[in-house]
Amino acid sequence: MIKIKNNINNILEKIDFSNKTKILIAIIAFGMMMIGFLMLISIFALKFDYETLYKKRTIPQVGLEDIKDIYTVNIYDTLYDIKEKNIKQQNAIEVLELARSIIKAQWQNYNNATNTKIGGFTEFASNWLNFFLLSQKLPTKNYYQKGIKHKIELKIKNIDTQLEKLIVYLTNNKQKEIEKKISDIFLEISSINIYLSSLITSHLKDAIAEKNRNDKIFNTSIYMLFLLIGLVFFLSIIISTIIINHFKELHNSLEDKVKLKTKELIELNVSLEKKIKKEVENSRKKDQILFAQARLASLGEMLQNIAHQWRQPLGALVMIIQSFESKFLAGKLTYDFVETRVEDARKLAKNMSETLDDFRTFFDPNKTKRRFKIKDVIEKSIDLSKYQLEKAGILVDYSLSNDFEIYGFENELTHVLLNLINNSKDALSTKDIKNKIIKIIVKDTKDQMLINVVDNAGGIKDDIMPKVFDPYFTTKHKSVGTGIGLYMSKQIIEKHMNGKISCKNIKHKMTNEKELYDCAMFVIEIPKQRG
Amino acid sequence: MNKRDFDLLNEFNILYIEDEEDLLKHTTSVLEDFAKNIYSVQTTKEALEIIQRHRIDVIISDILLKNENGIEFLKYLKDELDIKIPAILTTAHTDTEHLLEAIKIRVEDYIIKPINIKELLNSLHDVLMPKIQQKEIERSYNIIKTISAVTDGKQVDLIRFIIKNLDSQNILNYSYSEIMERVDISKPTVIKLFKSLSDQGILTKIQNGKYYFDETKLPMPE
Repeated sequence: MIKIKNNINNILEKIDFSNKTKILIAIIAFGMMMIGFLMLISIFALKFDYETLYKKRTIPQVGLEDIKDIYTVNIYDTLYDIKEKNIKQQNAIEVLELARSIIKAQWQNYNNATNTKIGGFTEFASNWLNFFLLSQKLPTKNYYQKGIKHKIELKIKNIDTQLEKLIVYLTNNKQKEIEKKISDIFLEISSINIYLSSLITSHLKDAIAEKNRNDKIFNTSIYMLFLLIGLVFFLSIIISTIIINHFKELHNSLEDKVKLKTKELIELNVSLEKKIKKEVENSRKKDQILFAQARLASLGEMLQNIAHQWRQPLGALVMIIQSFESKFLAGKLTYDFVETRVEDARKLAKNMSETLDDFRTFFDPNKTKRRFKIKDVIEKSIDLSKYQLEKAGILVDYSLSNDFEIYGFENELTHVLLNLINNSKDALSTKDIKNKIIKIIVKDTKDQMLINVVDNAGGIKDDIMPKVFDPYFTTKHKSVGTGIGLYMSKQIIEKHMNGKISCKNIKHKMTNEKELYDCAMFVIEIPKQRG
Repeated sequence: MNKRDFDLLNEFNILYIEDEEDLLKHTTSVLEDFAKNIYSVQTTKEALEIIQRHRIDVIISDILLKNENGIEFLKYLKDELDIKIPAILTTAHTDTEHLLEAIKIRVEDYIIKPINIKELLNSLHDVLMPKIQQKEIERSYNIIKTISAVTDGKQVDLIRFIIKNLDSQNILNYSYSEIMERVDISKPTVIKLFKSLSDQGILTKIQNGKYYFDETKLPMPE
């Protein structure tokens, strides 16, 4: 049972929603049609039965009653009057003749009525309904009725002949024969009356049977109608329920789907969040590595500077040391000589030590924020790159509208400036121009200070311009450029100093002469600190 | 290295070009003990003035000067002014680019900073050696000429012939008669000279017509 149910459910589940609706509509429409059709048929069948009752049962019965009355009243009474001589012979003959013709006509009527075919749609409907309801069709005439009818016919003929003879006797006035005939006819009349009563009763029985059948048909029709209505109602309810269930299921499944998708979205969100965190962490690490790389790169450059700055005093020191030997050998090693040379050597060593200090503070790994003067930073940057600039024959000039104090990482700003100076230097050293100049100009507005680094190396090409701050972008040869200098500078200015760095090409009068140069200018904007 | 070797330097004038003041001062103070004159300058402009005013035997120059280049300056001297003075370059750079340039203009020597004074003196010595030798030869020649002026000229001619005709093993392959044919000299003079040289072990007879000349037996000059 459960299996079947499951199967049905499976089949139902397989039918899609629109087909279910179609099935529902079809069932309702078909049910309505069936009900309508059955009602129509029933009405016509009832009309058939009604007509049958009237035409085949009531009319013949009236006819038979008439015949019976004529026999009893007209003929019998007239005969009785003749016998008693209460009537004239002539009148009696007229009455009898009339009675004879009426009986003949009435019998004819009776026969016609019993043989009438009702036909038409009503009969068809009745037959169809009979077939549909499987009810037995009554035989149109039974043999008993037929026999009685036959006998009545014979009796009618017999009485008719007797009456004819009586009329002849009456006309001939044969009293004796008349009386004898009358008594014969009396007998015949009472006999026929009995037969007629039987036929009437038989017809009544038929009517009753038909009525019963009619009732049965009516009951069955009503029953069938109720059954059909019930069936349609039931099927509609079932299919509606199925459709509603389908809706519910659809609703539930949609709800589940929404829940599932929501869950997936939440999970995706969470994983994305994790990914973003990871990526942010990665990019932070990458930046740190970049910074370290850039630091190492400038460390190398610094080392070159330091090396050169050390080389000169070192050479002098070595020479002083050797001069002691040579003077001694020459016999010219006086105290004076020793004193002056020791003093010189001390100065040189001090100079070297200062250079080292510059170097050490620049690469001080202990980063602490503190107040520092922008002028010091610029001077230090120029000083640190002095050797490279001299070598490339580049003039550096700087001007300040005011000396500002900045609170932050001094070394980082130095680093940025060194980067910019270094880039300018690289650009200038590839150019064949007479005056190679880098200008550092510090200006201020109400809210911020501007450090402009300008060089007259011809400016930055338009196609490169948007990319200069990108990491790993470099125009230099691979062995020289790491492509992180400006990226790192941007990071430092934007993230550590809340400032901005940008670049543009300008025309600028670099020297006191009138000539205008194509220049690249990097602008560092640092907000002024209050208090 | 013996200091006495560098006494030879004290007849020469040195031009020293170095842009760095300290080094210039100290190196000059060392070199002035050896050279006759040392002219220390910081720029090529000053150097050129010195060259035009004084006789300079050797130039010591730094390669990288302030806004200048020592190699360029030497090239300018040689090519434009046609002044050929031996030169020694000093530099802190070991890169081959400079070295190649230096070779190209035939610089006599190349010294890496920091300067080792002995290396510099050696270098100066080597660079100046041809000049020293030239002077020595001139002097010897003058001595011989002076001797031949005061003694018998024929003997000097014979000694000259002997030394001139020594083969690679210091062997003289000439008989008396051959010598007499080549040098216009009498036999007794030849015999007398040969005997005198043979007595001092300078000229040893190996066989007839073959004599070995022993340099080491020559008396040291005063």
